[in-house]
Amino acid sequence: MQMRTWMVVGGLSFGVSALPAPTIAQDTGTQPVLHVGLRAVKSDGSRGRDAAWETINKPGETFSAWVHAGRVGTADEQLCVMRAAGRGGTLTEVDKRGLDTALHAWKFSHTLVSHEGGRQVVDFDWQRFDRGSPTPAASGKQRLTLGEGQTQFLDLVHGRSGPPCDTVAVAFEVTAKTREDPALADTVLRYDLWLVRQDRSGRKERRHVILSALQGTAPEFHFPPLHAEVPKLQPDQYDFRVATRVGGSIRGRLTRDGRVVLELETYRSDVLEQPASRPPSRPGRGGSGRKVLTAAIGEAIEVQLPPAGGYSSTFATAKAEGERAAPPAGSPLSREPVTVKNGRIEVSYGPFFEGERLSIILQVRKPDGTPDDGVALPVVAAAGR
Amino acid sequence: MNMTYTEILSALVDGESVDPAAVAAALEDAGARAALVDFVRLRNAARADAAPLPASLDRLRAAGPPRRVLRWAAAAAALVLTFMAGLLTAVSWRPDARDPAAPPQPARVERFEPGVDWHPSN
Repeated sequence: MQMRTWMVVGGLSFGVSALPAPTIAQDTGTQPVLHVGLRAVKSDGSRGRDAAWETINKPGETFSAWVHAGRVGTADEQLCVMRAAGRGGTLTEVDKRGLDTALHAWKFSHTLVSHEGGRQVVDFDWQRFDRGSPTPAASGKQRLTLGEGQTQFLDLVHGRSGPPCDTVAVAFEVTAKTREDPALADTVLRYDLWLVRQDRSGRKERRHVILSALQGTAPEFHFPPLHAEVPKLQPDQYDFRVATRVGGSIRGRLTRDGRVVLELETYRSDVLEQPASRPPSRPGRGGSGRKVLTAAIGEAIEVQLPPAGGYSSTFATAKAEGERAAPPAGSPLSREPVTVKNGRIEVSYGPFFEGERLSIILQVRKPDGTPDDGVALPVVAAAGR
Repeated sequence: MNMTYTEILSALVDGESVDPAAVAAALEDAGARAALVDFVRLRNAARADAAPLPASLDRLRAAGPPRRVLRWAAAAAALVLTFMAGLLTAVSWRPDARDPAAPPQPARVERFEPGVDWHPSN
């Protein structure tokens, strides 16, 4: 554990000192960090210790290093011994001895292609060598697009577990992280989000949620569903409605000129459901998206969601349900909003929501008591005034 | 005292035709008697201040509505003005007359574009 900690911190500190701080668009003062290494998997499935490199990267620069696990010739050849080695492709004598006796060793290199709103595009190249063999047992070369906090699994090896080592496998993976600007890291942001639906007649319906979170974190939001009644086309038809659910996450970061960079990830889901009975048996139709925006503190921005599409179909009546009515062959998407055919009701969301305008209106503020002028100060400092 | 007694006595002071029995009944009321004294004082004061109208304008007075009606109309107008002033004052003191749950007016509109930054989920 001591060694792992030293290696991770050493890797990070080396990266900080060796590389000039990259200039990131929208100057939030953040820096892209790539975490590459091994993660132990215990026999109960939980996460064990790890050995990894964390580097602050600059577009166009390549970083190369090694990680290895297990030792040949030890009792049971277990995987508990893990180590990071060879930063920049240069191996020390200790590194060489470790790699020569490693059960599994991964050599990797990565180049940051771009970084925007916490998302990194990375060219990643790796090879695994088993038992000191000069020939790779596995390899990969790919361009990865990683969202902030996202982990990409790359390789897995199994081992023998038993006292004192409970590691049954080791995963080789990469995670995109972001290093916050220390001057802004403690800033708290308040998000007001409204979901507004205007139907074709101009009638508006809305929902409102309020979030408060440290900048750089991405709190989730979920609006209470909007409901639209489904007309009855036959007397014994169940009562149906369409529930539209919208949610997602929002991540805000102050810029040095006092504005806010917002990363909005959201989804829309339309579900045909019976309000009086069971929950919907099928997942809803919809989509999801991600948008990066820059706003002033207190500025309201409307983000329109695309028109609904797809359809939902289920039994229209108790009788049809008892007979397990099958969907009509082919079941082409109807141009009618609601149809009942062969005992099944089908809601085609395009026509059903025709003329609808569904938007999220968002506004970011600093909580009361936080100064609004110029560069934001950490809340801790503001409280001391 | 009630308003009917006051109106009867006001009409009497204005020289209008009134029912003597009604006047008698009104004078039974102490409040009405006090009002009658006030009316007389008011009328005397008005006579003392009023400059005689030119003969050319004298007909205007005759053509207008009875002054008693004007007085009531003025009182009603004063009440309306007072009410309106109070209403306006209340509005200006209200911190936010809008629906507090309503979203603010967006400064700009952005759109998710299918296939670009929006993708179907299934």
